Amino acid sequence: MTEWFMCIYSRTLPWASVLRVWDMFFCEGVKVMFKVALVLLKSMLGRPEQLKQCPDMDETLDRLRNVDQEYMQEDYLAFEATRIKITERDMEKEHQLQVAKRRLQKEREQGTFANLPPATVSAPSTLTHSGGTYHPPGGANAAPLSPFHTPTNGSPSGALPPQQPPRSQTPDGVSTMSRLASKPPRGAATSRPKSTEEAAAAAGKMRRSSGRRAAGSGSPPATIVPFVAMPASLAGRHDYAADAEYPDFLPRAMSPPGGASAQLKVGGERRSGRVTPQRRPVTPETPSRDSTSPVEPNGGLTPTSGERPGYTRHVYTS
Amino acid sequence: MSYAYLFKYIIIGDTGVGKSCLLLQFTDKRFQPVHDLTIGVEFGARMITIDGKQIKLQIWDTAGQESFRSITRSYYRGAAGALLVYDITRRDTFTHLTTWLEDARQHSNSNMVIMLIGNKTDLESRRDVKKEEGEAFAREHGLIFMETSAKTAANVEEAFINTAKEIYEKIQEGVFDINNEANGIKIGPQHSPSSPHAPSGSLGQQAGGGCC
Repeated sequence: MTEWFMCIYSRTLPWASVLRVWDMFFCEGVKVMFKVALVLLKSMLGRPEQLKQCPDMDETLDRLRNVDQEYMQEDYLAFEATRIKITERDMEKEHQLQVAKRRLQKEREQGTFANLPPATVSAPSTLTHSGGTYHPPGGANAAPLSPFHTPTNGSPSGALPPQQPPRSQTPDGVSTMSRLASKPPRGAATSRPKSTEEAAAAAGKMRRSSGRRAAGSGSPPATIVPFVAMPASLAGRHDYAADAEYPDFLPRAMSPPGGASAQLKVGGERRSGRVTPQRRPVTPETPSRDSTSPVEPNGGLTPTSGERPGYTRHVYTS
Repeated sequence: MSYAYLFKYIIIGDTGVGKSCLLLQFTDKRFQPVHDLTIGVEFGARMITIDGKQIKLQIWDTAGQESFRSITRSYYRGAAGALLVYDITRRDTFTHLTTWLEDARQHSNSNMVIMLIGNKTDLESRRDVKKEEGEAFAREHGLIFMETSAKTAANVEEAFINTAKEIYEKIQEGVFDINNEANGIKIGPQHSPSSPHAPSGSLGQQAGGGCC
């Protein structure tokens, strides 16, 4: 069953269904993978008579390895998958539950299996403080994050105003840069810069050292932030500032249509607790993030309901 | 189908040595010359008889590729037996055995029975690792050794069954705590000691014969 997730069903489903599922996956993100899995589970094991045929794990696994063709047809799958109402919040909850369980189990086993490999999932306490940035693979300070992490869930900085200034040089931008600059140890979310001044200094230093124009207060950054369409749940916590540090991570040809100084505003940024109100440009009338976005990167696929708080909002400024 | 014991196995070894083919030969008695790369883990099960007792082997076939190592490592735990496979036509798969063994010893319980298997004996003309070398390695590290061919099915059954016998003996000696499922051994439903109706007729007699 690892193939379901590791190969995104490309080894499981017929080709037409693979394309359909991948379409959904690219539009809606990682939860689609779980929805499809739930449809397959429900179809193969959902009825009592089906369950009776599977008294043990191997019968169950065997059944799931050979899913009936009728349940893998694209129309059936897509229809059933969209009927399942799972939000990223649900998945985040489940994730945290599982992580907690796993941690407990690990603690119990410590001593017997002292040399277990490090857990691949992060602890809930780290999640709530980790700032919502996704560092590209190989990044020096890849913070462990939940794959379903959404900016508003469990955020300690829920008191922040919901408005996001549509400026490219935002205090948030500083904070993400400073996070890079200060290079916090893995998982240690508490080692943040002590003040915004420090953060700004660190960020400025970093920008200079990377050969870019030092950002004076209020001047737009010269950073070209590449644009790429990503699954929403990934994009929602992607640190595009970090991409600038890894210029080869994304092809230059994919820079945004807004011009050289376009800045992607990532939903996750608003959780940053380091933003002081003084540094935030006064934009009390800033409307919701939807209407500040002149470009709809996903061709109108952006959900209008507030269902997905982690969905990326792309704001371009000149 | 009922069983007296369930043993959990894991098959490990470098990529392309024939782990999945060994499993396929053992569970389905067939051979696929072209086999897809295993992703993560695969699963197979078969019933065997040892000492007149039905024993179910639950076998986890792991991906040999390095990139899956973090996944496959978690399957060492709770395994009663491991088949450590190398390819007799590729020396590097043999030289990597020490790494595999270290990994297995580190992540499994100490009583796990490890069987060393040199696979692909049907390719005798391309042999790169002598049988004696395999034997010496097994002796040195206290493993059981066998050369097999998943293609011709030579020694495949024996490899799995001999491992099961070894585990069974260890159970008889009391080395394994059979009530602790972390050891990879489960007592079948009708053999549960806590059940008041436990040993029914013939099975009870068999159990008595086996113990003494």
